[in-house]
Amino acid sequence: MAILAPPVRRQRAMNKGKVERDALETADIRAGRLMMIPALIIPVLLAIVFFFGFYLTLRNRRLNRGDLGFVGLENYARLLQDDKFWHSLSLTLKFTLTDVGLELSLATLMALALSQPLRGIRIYRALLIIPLMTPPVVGALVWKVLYRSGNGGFFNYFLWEAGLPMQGFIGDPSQAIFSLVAIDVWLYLPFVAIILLAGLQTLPQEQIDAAHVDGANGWQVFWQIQLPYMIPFYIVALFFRVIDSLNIFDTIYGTTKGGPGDATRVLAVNGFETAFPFFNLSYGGAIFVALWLLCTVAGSLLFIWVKRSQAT
Amino acid sequence: MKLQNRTNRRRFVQGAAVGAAAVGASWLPTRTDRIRAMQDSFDWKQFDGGQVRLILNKHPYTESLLPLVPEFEELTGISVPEPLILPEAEYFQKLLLDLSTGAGEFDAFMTGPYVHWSYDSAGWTEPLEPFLADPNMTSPEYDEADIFKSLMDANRWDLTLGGGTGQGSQWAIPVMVETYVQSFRKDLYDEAGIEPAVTIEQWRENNAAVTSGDIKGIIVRGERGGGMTGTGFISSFRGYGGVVLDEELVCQINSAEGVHVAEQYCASVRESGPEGWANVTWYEGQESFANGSYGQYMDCDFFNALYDDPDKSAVAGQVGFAHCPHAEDRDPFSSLWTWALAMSSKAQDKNAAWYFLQWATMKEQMLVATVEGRNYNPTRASVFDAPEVQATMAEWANGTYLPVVLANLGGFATLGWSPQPEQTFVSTRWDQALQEIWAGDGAQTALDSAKEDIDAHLVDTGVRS
Repeated sequence: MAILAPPVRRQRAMNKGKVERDALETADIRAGRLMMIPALIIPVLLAIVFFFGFYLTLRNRRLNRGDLGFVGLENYARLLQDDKFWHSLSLTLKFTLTDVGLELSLATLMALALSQPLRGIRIYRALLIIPLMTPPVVGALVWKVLYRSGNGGFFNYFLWEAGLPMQGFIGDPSQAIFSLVAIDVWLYLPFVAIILLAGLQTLPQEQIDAAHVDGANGWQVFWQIQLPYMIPFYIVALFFRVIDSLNIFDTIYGTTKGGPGDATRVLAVNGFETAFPFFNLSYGGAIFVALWLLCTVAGSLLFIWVKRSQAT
Repeated sequence: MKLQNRTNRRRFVQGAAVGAAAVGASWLPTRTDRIRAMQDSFDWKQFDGGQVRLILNKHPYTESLLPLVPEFEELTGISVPEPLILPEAEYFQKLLLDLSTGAGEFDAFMTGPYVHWSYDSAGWTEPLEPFLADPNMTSPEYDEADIFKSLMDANRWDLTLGGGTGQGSQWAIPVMVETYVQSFRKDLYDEAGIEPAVTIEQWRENNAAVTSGDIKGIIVRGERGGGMTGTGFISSFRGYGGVVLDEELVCQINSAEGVHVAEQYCASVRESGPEGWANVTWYEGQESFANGSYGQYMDCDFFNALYDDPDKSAVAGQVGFAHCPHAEDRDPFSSLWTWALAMSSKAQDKNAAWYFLQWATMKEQMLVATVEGRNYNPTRASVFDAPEVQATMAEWANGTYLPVVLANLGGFATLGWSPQPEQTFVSTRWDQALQEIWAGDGAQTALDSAKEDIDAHLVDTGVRS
């Protein structure tokens, strides 16, 4: 037999509970607001830095001579007429397309291989993370040694041993950009492969089994089931890698510094060199604003693609 | 960063301990004797409790200096926190950021004439002549006149664009000097029956003649922004009468002499040099020559300390020295560079910083750094002429080191560049042009384009109208 509390006591208990709930909610709200502070501060700080950087591009600020006054959009007008800027832009796009294209293709193969129930696959997956843990500039310096000229270089030593002509790699204008792509692929291929592998592993096995029962071969399974299913994962990988490749700096500055000639002088290297060793902070800043614009456009296009793919 | 600091600290302490042991075992006066002798004539404890923060380039000079730093601390009571030591490219970037932003993270640093021209005109370096002239700040034993005048003058500038070196303020004190030479494999040259080249054409022929099998004829610096045009190349260019900037500061690298030397130089490197030349740094050139892969390295003279070290070099005892190629009707030319110590104008404790600079450039320290730390070439006459130093250098390069280097220091060597603050742009753009010529572009076209860019840059930056 249930013992019911008299209505007054019940009401009191309910009121007490409500007060406690309200107090808890108030505390939660306060804690939530406190925790939101960094999320509010960081965009504000970023905006301050960005607008200060943009403001610098409207002035003629030289590191070695100080602020020489307001020049308005002169630095941007100069950009449009600067052959070296357009050369850097074209190199940046060439690097990004080659780099991201190779990474996605190879990462697809790698993800498919890693999704197989092979012996020792877990160890291999763990080893795969090593390049990811390597700071890009360290990776670049290691590769610089591997690419060394003469038979003191790692790759050239094997070419020499095999009686093949030794190569210039990053020291040869026709090979330099592709040699740098190879470094970047080494650094980030595992990252892309892990994203794609995650996609493959969320695909229901029943669909693949059903396709096999219906007589589909491996290629048909990949092309008609796995690939469409993985598109959102490709977009995520693309988003990170396109933005990162457009911004490529450390790998290149750590190895070629933009050379030979200006064969690897991508936008970020051009901007840095203009701003610091050549002291023109304002014009270097304008190059970086152009790079930011490029990244924003690329990021927005990918974002639109994400939205559309979600809608379909 | 923390890891780097710990590593630096550990290496610093290890280096100090090893160095102190080595110094203690040498024929030189002991550390205690040196400190006692110095204290007798000057109040080194005047700024006891002060601090000097250093940033140093990873360089043989730095290696020779570090073991002596505890001695400075004991002598003066001024502490020296572990210095930040970085490879050359990173070093100059870090220093530039510190100086240009006025952060004042470092009080004293390593520099040299072409580099500090930018700093001097921007007001980032502290003039040192007031300290040198003040008997309360500079020991009577300092003997400024003992430092080679030409090298002190190389670090003196009155801020006149295109001239004025050797006048005005003393911006840095030189601690080592390098001139540029042909370091060649005497055994290979003898075998091929050739003499070291006088002209650039002979140089190209020699390089081709020595190239055979696994040996290539020539290695020179090729990295853009890594001193590529500033060592052997500019020495030959000037040896043919070329000038980088004329009196009106108009770029002349595309003159007939400039095109001729660049054509021969780049063709020779393409024919007889490394495949990936555009990536060759000074240390790669030095190592590759020392391991016997090349017939010649045209670069710094003092690199011979490695070449003739039988423990580290495969070519010890087989090296010869000659002047850089030049026109037959002209004297040889060598550009020169001095590593020097300078003070930041934002130094927290300028007196303590000056005490460090003074101490590091005194005879006693330079002698120990030279003999024990193999810091060649010293910038003090008394150290250069010390019997032990002379005896070592006299044997180098089969006896050809001293005659060539002394002839350079005696008059053939002078600053290869005109003083102005946009030196980095000028040299880097010239580097780029040489890489383009090496890759197959016409020399005249590449140098015309570089000249156009340099002239536009000098006008844009107000160096000339």
